[in-house]
Amino acid sequence: MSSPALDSFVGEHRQQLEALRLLGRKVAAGSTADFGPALRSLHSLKGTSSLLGLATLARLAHAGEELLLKLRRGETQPPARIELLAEALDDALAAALHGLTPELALNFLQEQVETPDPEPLLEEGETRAERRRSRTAQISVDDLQRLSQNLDFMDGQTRSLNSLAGRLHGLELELSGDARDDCRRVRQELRSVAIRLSEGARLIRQESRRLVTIPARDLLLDVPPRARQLASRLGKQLEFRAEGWDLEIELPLLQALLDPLWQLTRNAVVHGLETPQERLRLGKPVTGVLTLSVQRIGAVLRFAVSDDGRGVQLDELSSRAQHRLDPNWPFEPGLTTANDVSEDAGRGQGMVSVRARARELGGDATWSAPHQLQAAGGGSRMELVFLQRAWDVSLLSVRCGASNFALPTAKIRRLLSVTAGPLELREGRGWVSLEGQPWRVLDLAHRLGLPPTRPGGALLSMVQLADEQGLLLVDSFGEQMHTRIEPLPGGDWPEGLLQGCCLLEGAEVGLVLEPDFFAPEWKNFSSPPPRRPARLLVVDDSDALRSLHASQLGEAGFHVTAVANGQLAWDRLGEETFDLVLSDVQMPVMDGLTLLSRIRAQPQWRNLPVILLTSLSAPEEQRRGLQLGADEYLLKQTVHAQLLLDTVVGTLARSTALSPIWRRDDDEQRD
Amino acid sequence: MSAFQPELILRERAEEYARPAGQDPATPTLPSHLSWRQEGLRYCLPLGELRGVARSRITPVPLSRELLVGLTSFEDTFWPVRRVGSERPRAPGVFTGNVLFLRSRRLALWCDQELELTSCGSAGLGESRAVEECPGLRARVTEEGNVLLEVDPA
Repeated sequence: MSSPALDSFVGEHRQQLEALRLLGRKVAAGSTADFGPALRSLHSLKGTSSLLGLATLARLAHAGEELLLKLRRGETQPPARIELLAEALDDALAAALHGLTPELALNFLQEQVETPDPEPLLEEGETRAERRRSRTAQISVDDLQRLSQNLDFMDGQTRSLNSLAGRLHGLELELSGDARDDCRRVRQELRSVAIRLSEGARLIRQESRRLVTIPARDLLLDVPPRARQLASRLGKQLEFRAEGWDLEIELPLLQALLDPLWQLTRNAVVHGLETPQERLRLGKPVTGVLTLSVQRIGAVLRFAVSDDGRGVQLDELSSRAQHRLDPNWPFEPGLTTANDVSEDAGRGQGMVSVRARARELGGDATWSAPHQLQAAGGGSRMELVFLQRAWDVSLLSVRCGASNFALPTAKIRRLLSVTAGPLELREGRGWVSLEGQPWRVLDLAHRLGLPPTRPGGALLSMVQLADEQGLLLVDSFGEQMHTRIEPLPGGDWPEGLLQGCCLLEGAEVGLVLEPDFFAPEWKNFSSPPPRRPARLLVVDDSDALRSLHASQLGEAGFHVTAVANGQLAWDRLGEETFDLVLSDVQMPVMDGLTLLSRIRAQPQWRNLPVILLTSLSAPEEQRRGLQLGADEYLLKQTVHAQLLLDTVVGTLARSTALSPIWRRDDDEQRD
Repeated sequence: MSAFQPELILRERAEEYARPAGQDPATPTLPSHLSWRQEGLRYCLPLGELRGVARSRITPVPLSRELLVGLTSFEDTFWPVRRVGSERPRAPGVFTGNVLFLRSRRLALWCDQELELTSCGSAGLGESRAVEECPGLRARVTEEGNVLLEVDPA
């Protein structure tokens, strides 16, 4: 394991030893002690050590668990052994860090009578399947969630390894011969370890998440028949729609929400839906529609119950409440839309308890669109919204304004590398032409009030958002990662700016931006600029051919500049912006291949289209030109006006497609 | 006053918790506050209000309110880090600074200058508006001119 990774692992667990020492003092003093934190800490240490191959540490943590469990059960043990255990763990952590023998740890293990856990032999007649059933254990959901959290640590180690491999690659380029080969082998091995570690963490996370979560459908299965039965009893016709029920939800939350969701459903059936006769009178279909949808966007989990029923008569309700109702009226105790109290509803307490329950669970009950309720007959919609830790979210890190941010890849369509030339920004906004279409570009650093740190003249990195509204301009792209997003209480920054935050390498907090936050920006763009004709640089030492090509292309609408050799072309490139170079090969002063090599050596012109037009027809000549980076190779012997025009237009069209670095579709296929 | 040593603070606190009820502290003369300087004022926070002290990586949040220095991670939890004066970190981007983590609410304070262990007297306490923008905190001025912070329970 790499040194920074080990440092981080050791540092984390040394902090936790303090809980153990504190427990030791409490036990020694005869005070009431909570063994939970120390046991959890040891359990976590055992799991992580095993995964990292630190066997002594894992055995020690296991022995520590045994010791604490005995002490908690009141079995006679000298309390001082807790302090010895802490010393031994400290020793084993130090030994792991420095590659030494953990003497104290080994002594402790020798003195501790470890509880063996060998699998007993099969009883006579007992089958393996029966053994497996008898060994099935109930696992605490909290423990599984904790396991998933520990995997975040492993992800950090993977990133450290990848970072080390990247640094080695830099070193490798400066070496030569055997040293370079050795360096490459070490780098490849590091990458291989990182990949295996990452894959292992992914599988464990996937499995633990499978155990913690459950498709919403599995627990909500009874809701539709119950709703239909209730509707039938009230003489109403109901079509029940389930949306998003395949979403995996944390089991404890879903269990706790069963009752509130039924309460909302029952309210919709009892108060919302009209009888068939009433619906006919209102010109509605006789069958009412009730939808229970489940949706997760980033860290926001939303349950919504909506119906197309009678909605709410606000005036009548206000009069019943004897005061003007505020937007939270459904949660006012004793207020009901029902005229009579029945066993189904009418006491005005149900919604109060729904909101109370939602708040107990860390969420809230809200109206998502109160304005819709102003009109009677417009239906109603109730939502239960929870800010929740979102597991295993795919994020792309981007650098912008000297800061790192993360964007959810679910909201990214593709990443592009665009030449800086055509983009002019004003107040952080501009237009760029992609594949013949104008696209709005929003400078993320400018929008976030950060200093611009983009290198001038180079390629620009842009994120095309999934909703196709525009492109976000960033300084550079970082890595794609799968991690956990924690919700944040907010209040100190504009609402909707962040989906949450995640932990990056080196205990750095990463801010996960919500792309929807920028949605209003796209409306504030001026009209796209008029398209200017593409600028072509024609290079040929033959006066006749130079004039001919300039004339043909000029008539086709291009803006053409013509020069007589490579050196003159090179000088003009430094003075003006061109969209394409059409160059002869054999020329005095500087030939076309030298010009091409120089162009490709400049980062800002790496993607500038270059067409070679020459009489050199040998295959090796053509190969050489293309190897140097020519986009097309045309022969003077065969070219004619239309072929030249088609080649220029086609090359320009391909170049404005630019360089898609990553596409959402590709990523989904990989998954 | 003694030099700032986070380990000492944590050990002291651990000993304090480990002490059986009713028993007097073995070292009653130990400093009772952690203090730091910010824009000419010395702020003091009782050690009992402290959950931890760490030199932490702080990520500023763009477009945030002035009093928010950024976010940091401590003990597997994300914490908003606020400041008590008007001084802001100089450089943009992530930076490292001393951070105090409060025990009774999810709030951390950025305290980068002259951290010290001290005992802050309670004589001459007068009202102070030094932290009026920082929810959850109250401040009073002592006879020595120190700003003594008190934490409202969450």
